Amino acid sequence: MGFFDLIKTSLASLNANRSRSVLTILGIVIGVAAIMLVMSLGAGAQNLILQQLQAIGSKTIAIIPGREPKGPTDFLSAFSDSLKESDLKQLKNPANVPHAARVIPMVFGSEVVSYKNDTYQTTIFGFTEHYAPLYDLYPREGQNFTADDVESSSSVIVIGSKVKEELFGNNEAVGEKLRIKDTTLRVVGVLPKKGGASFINFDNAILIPYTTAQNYIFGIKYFNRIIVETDEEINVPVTEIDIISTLRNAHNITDPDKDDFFLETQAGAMETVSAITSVMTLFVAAVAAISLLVGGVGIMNIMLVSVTERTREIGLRKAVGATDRDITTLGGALGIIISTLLGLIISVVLSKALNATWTYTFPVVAMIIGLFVAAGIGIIFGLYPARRAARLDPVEALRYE
Amino acid sequence: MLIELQDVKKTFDEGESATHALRGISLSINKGEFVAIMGASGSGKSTLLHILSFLSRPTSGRHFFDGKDVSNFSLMDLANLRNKSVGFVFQSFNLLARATVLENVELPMLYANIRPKERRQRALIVIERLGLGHRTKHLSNQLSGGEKQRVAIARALVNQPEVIFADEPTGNLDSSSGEQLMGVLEELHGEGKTIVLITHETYTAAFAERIIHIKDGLIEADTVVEERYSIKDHKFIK
Repeated sequence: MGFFDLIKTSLASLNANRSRSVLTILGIVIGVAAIMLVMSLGAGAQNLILQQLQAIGSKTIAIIPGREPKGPTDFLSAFSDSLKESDLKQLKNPANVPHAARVIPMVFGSEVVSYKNDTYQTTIFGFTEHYAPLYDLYPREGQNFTADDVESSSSVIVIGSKVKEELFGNNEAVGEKLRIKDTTLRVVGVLPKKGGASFINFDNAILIPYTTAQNYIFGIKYFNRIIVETDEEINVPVTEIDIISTLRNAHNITDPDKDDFFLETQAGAMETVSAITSVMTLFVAAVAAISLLVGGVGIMNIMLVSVTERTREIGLRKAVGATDRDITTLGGALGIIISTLLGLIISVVLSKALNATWTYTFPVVAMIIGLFVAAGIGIIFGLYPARRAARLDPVEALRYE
Repeated sequence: MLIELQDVKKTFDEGESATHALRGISLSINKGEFVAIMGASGSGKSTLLHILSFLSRPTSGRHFFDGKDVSNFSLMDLANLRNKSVGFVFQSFNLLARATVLENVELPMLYANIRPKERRQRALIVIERLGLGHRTKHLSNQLSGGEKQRVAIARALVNQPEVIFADEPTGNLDSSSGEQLMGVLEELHGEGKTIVLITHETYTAAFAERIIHIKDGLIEADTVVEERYSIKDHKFIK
């Protein structure tokens, strides 16, 4: 039997039992759709997180105070005040960390900021003026605070676009005075709208010199982070080693297990994030795969019913010369067509729908995989009924009532 | 000699008890013969037909077709023989109900790997010949019994087989349709086709040149008909 005749015959028999075919196809479609949805959502989520990580920049190393959490019972809070001004000096010393292009301390915390009678809950970041090149973030109105401002703990402030909108609306913000706790700060710049980057939403943040943040707002002598930007990406690993030895020296640490700081790099974080999201995606996809399995059993069930119903027809086909192989192929083709037919339509529809709501473009690869999976399910679960049909004795089959 | 059976036995094992459907049949049928096989139900005549038409294989004994020993043919080779060398006409027609007349007649050619264009041409010729030209596009379940059986004959003829096996072909037809059908078989016989007819009606068997009586799995009698009935001439002829 030729390929074209096979398709024609299969379609004709699907058409003969339309509602049954549609329901069977639906089972497979739900399964395939679920898997593809989960996979592409997972890929989308991963991409989103990776994008955030990329914003940190591949050349930067974050030094985080405390001990690297090894399990849920480890608390970051231990030694959280371990990074001090003296460490900053050590790290800035080219003799210690030769490839450090910039060393930027960072303090942060959540505070309420008020303007006249309006208040707004925001995150305060204390930086040096170098945050601007680090995050590629330059004020769209006014200007950045300066090295002098950092040196002298000036009461100057750069605000995020959302903060500006909330407190000032359409009015001019630069030059106005804001209050945080008991400190009055003068707005010198407004940041452009940026959205999230490296897990910091700068739209909703205010930036001030770190000295100001330490002295007037948080009243602390330590840093929440020190960010080291290396001169070249290739020097990240060697710089990591330099930082570790410098800080161990400064903190008199001999046992690496007793480190009161740990490092985070973009590469490391990406690896971790990829690993976690991949495992999650796989896990959820595996759950979705169960629905595919159920769909497959549905195909098998329906095909077994069809074989029984069409016993006489199979007998006749064999009587006029169909070989066992002809019958098996016909059954197999039915299974494949059942599972592929609407699988195709659904995956196209799905891809359109996903493109609309998710920033991530639906992968064509996932669609192709989906189709192959559907066809595979069709073959696997269609084969047994098809074989059973093929093995029918023509004499018995012709007599079947 | 077209068909030859040598001491063919067929036993059905169904659990404990074995049924001996054929207990040693030897016969030969020449090319162009019109043979009727008669017998009461349970005599083994259907089993004999199934073996003759390659639908099943004998338990023991030898079966020759056109000089070849087909007793040990594989299922695939038998399917091929059914496709090319024999045509079937069943009592219950066995047409594909949701297919058109044309599709039904084309079916054997589908398994002979004949190109769609040629398939259609050949099918149309036989359909026309059997007087069903106006029914080509009708679904087979819209036809009368007589028409259905003529479609079945068209289907049996379309691969130009050597032998037509007809298993109680008039069993589900009224007498005039039955008579018409026997006329078609007679005509085919006249053209040189070998016809093997199974029946329990003496009237139907009267069209054959030779009648084989089966009883309890053995040949009871094998007689040449002196005077057979001709539809064409409306009388018995010698």
